[in-house]
Amino acid sequence: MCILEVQNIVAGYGRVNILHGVSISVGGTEIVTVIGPNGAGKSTLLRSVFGLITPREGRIIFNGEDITGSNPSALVAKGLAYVPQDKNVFPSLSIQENLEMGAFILKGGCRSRMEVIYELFPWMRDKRHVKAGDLSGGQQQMVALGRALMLEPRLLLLDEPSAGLAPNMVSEILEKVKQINSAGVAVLMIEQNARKALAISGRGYVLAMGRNEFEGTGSEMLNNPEIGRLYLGG
Amino acid sequence: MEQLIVNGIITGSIIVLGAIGLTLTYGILRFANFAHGDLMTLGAYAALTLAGMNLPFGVVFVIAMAFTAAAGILLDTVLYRPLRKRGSIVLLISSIGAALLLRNLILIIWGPRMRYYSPDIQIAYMLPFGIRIKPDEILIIGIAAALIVLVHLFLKKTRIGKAMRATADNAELAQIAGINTDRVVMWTWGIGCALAAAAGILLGMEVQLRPQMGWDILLPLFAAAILGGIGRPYGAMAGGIIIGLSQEISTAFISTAYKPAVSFAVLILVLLIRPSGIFGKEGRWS
Amino acid sequence: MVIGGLESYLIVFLVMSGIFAILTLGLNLQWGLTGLFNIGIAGFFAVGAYTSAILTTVQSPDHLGGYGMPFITGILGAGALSGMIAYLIGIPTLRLKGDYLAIATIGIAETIRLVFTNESWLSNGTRGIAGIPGPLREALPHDYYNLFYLLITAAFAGLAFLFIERALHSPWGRVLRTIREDEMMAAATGKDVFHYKMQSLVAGAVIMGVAGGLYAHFIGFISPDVFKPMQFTFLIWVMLIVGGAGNNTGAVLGAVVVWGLWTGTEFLIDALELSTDYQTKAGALRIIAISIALELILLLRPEGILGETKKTSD
Repeated sequence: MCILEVQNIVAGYGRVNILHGVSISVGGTEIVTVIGPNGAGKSTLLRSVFGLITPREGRIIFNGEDITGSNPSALVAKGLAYVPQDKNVFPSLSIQENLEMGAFILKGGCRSRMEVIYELFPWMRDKRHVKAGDLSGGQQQMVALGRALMLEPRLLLLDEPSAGLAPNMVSEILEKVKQINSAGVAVLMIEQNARKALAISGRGYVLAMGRNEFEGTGSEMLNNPEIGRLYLGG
Repeated sequence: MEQLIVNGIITGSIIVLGAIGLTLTYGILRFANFAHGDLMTLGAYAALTLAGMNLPFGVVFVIAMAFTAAAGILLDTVLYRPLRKRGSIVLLISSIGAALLLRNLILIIWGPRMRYYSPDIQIAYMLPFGIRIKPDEILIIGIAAALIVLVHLFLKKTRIGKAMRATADNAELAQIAGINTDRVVMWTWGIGCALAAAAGILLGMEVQLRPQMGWDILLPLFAAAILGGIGRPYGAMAGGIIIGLSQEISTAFISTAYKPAVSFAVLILVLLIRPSGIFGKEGRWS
Repeated sequence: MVIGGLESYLIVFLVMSGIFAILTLGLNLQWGLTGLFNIGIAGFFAVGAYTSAILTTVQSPDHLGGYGMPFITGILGAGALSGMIAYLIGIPTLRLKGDYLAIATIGIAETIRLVFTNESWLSNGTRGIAGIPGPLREALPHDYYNLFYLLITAAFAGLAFLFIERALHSPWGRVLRTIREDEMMAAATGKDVFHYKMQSLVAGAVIMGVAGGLYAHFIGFISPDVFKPMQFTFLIWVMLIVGGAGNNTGAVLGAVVVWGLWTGTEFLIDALELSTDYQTKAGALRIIAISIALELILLLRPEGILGETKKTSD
């Protein structure tokens, strides 16, 4: 069963369309990676799914429900979470406060959930009172992931979680993504480190010029010479 | 000099209370609210009317704060909210209109003449180093300090206070995290305007009430907020004290008439050297 | 030809409208064309008025002066000093977000007012400068002098209009509009955004300074009270917004209409012969009315009466 189905959406900014009819789907416990050149509309796709942009055409079905045009706070309550590419932590808030903000819609406490996050990222426990703005790029990325996981989402949208990180950090973040997924959270992500990302993905899509270019399983894409040449850097 | 430092702290505490509200609305709503000074005036005059009803001081203070908070929320709902999508400058123009509207309403309701909370003349206490301080001035510093502690606890300990800081940090991310930004905005107006009312009342106690009083102190408020880094309430606290001190200490060298110009000079200096404020992150607002 | 009471009043009204039109045109260059938010108009106007007054008056023990220069030198000096102050304000603010310019301009206007109020040696403090000469003021009968002055004002207004109108259609004006719409884009196309903004700010301030000079020579007397910063500046803004930012004809029309309403209501308040207390309150009511009008325009008709004429060449 699909947790997310994007059907032929057309979306963009101002008068300009960036997506010209894109369709993708994400299975209930799948990792799906979208790759493609800059300007292909990958970020626009995620932002449309999360309601930051309202698609002009097409439908978005989440967990069997049409969510086209819903606003982000409604989607958070429904079990969707999104980590933007940059500026994804609150710099003047401590790690703990960043996590609390992820659970803002819960009126009661979120202690037990925070424990789960600290188990996933043990280093955070000791640094929980450190301001997020004082952390390294990789650490901030993990805080952002933690914040997004606070409400036990069904689907996690990740916009280039490893952008700008050192190679060993890239592997570590993707390892965490795999770990999150194995706990039952579906993941839809965009990645520049396409090989590493596809290696942990069930399926992948290639997006170009705002249209679907190719789709297949992770290994199909890794072994396809044309995709390798065009999108995976040889 | 010691006397000037004490005066600076008194002025500074009033500026701090005004600047916290200004910096919060600026940080969260991304526009300079030029009506903030006149909301201060509104709070001061509301307290004047309440004081006329022979209510105890504490009650007057709290009701005036609540009244001004409600006025701020009303202003936002009627005027700023519909304009919010049109950019910060349209909001700024609109806030200047709101400022003139408020000030002239106050003038019509309470009259143009100077007013005082109490006709009594207070005898100053003599402290060491030749410092003179009036009982009211001790009260001003005490109330300001108590309110600053309350604001601190609110921002650090409550869910909505933390959400306010988060929204000031990054409004889009706050929305992404599922924070109800409309409620945060409402609270921001409420807290900011309540503090403005407090600042107005204290200013009225220290000097006197005039319809122009809030407008005249707006420049020091902006200077304090920018000095501390826009959107940073803790920065505004430090900025307010610095502005208060520099205004008063300047009177040792130049005419007291130039006090507002001193805060302007400090402001220009900050903009030249470090526009993000002394506590702000480099380049965040440029 | 005999000039009657009504005509005489109309001439004075038109001269003042002309001066306001020049101010509104200057603001149109800064805001309408470039998107620079100047709320220190009263300051630039005051600098112009005082500069021209000090340059042209005869020796007086009350204030700096005694240069006795001709009218035109005074007007040029007015524009020059006003432009210079704008330049100094531009340095710290034009690289930052627009709100900072707004705050800084209000600060400079306030500082200028404080200087003219407190530095008696310079400006005779609150008592102001009297006896400011006007071209041919002695040679012509009062009403004819006003009529002559109307021509001078119209000539300056026409010059400002033509200058900004040409700017609007020039490559320079196109760059300014790009900056207004999208600063990033202007910078991306290799334009030195800071310098373009500075040129617009300074040129606008020169125009405002000239308007100040024209005012001083027309009335013959200036004091810091004339330049109540907010009320004055606000009026100019209302004129431009009513007329439609970006549209020169609108700016002039806005100036005439708003000034007409403003003096008309003042006339009305005077005619009612109220006690001074009620007069102050009636004056306040007038500002409330105009503030509400502004808010309604912002909410309901943001493009103003005329709006910016859309150019297909853009």
